[in-house]
Amino acid sequence: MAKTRAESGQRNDPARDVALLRRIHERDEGALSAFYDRYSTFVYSLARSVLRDDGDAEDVVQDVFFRVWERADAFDPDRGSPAAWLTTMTRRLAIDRTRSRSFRARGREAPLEAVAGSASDAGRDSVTNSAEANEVLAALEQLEPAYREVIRLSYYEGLSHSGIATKLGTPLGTVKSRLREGVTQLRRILAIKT
Amino acid sequence: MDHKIALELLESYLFGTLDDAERAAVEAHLLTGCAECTARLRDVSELSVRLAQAVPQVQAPARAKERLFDRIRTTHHPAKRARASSGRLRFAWGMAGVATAAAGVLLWQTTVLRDELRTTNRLLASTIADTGRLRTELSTYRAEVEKYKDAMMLGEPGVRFVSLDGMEPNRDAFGNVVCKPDMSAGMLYVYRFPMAPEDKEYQLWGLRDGLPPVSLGMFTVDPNGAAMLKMKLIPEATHIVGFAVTIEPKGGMSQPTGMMYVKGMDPMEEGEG
Repeated sequence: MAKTRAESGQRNDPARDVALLRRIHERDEGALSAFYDRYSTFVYSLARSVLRDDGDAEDVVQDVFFRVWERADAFDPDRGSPAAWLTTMTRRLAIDRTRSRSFRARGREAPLEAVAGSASDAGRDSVTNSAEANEVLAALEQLEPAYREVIRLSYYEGLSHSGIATKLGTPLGTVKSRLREGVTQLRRILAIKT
Repeated sequence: MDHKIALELLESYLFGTLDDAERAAVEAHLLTGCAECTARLRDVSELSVRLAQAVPQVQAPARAKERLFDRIRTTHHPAKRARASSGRLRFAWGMAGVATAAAGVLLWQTTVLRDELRTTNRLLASTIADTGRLRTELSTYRAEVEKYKDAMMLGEPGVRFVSLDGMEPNRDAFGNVVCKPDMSAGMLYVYRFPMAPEDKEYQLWGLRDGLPPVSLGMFTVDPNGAAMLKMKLIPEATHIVGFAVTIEPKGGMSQPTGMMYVKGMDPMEEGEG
């Protein structure tokens, strides 16, 4: 499989993405092709990190972009950028897949062993990691361990609140508050502004 | 869903880790237009993108794009136009206040419902047409079944079989009558009959010994001069000794008035006589 450097620079153009989504909504296959070219690596990589299977990840890519074609009108700019919309959709479809009977039967009940699971071991040796990726990993390192662990389990292992509580032996309310606080801190470290 | 609970679940909603029920509940809450939750969602969503960028980037196989376009070209979307209206609403950057959003939802629902109604009407019309066609086919098949039932009568014990011979000037015409011994049912088959004028029809008569003939039905012939007639039920008391066909005014007569085309006597009745 060919690996490429992340196209984060190209992706950081929400206005262009919204214009593409408008054209996709009007059944412009060329726009879908352009949108696919901009995001397929991103979607595939994210799905692959969740599923740890190339074939399943490819299926998720199919489903995500087919939904984009079918429901471009479902994108709501009030809730975030097109990249955020794709991220949520990809993660949801991938995680749903891990919950399927056939997936579990293949022995992947806990599939999300961190691809970027901890700041120390995640992909630092990968030529594919962009400076942006490394910035995120460094930000995770700055979090208090309790917060980092909850974010890791939630985002990179796909566990629910109760799943995290069980795994850590921590009260459910504590998990919720740690997740929320961890996200708030991480946003502050990364200076994310919307 | 309670606002506070929805707010607690937003991160997991974005991370995709909620179960279906929780996800649906959060979606429902967001549709109420809750400003705080929408703002929080927008804030966290960009972090979700950044976290996703931290995974090693690997290019999707080239065939994935081909598969995608094969899929979209082979999928039919009858309701697409309905969604087109909703899309224009959603793309209105920064214009959507709560009231506008509510109106948009209503408009979207109205558009979708109108489209569904049109689709349903088309399906209904199609179903009605199909029903009519199927009824016609059913009648045809029923007629066929009746025909075979009549033909099966030929194999019943004691069935009466009467040959009808052509009369001048139509000596080529001929026919047969097959009927049950008690005359409760019977069939007439005729061949090489001339086409009757538009105002005329052929009429089958039961010939009775010492009594006036009794009408057993009317018929017309096909372009080949052939016809089949299922005879009327004949009262048991009626004593039929033979059959004849005459041409009569449309609708038939109570007694024969026109030219006789074929005639035949039941050999069993003749023997007894």
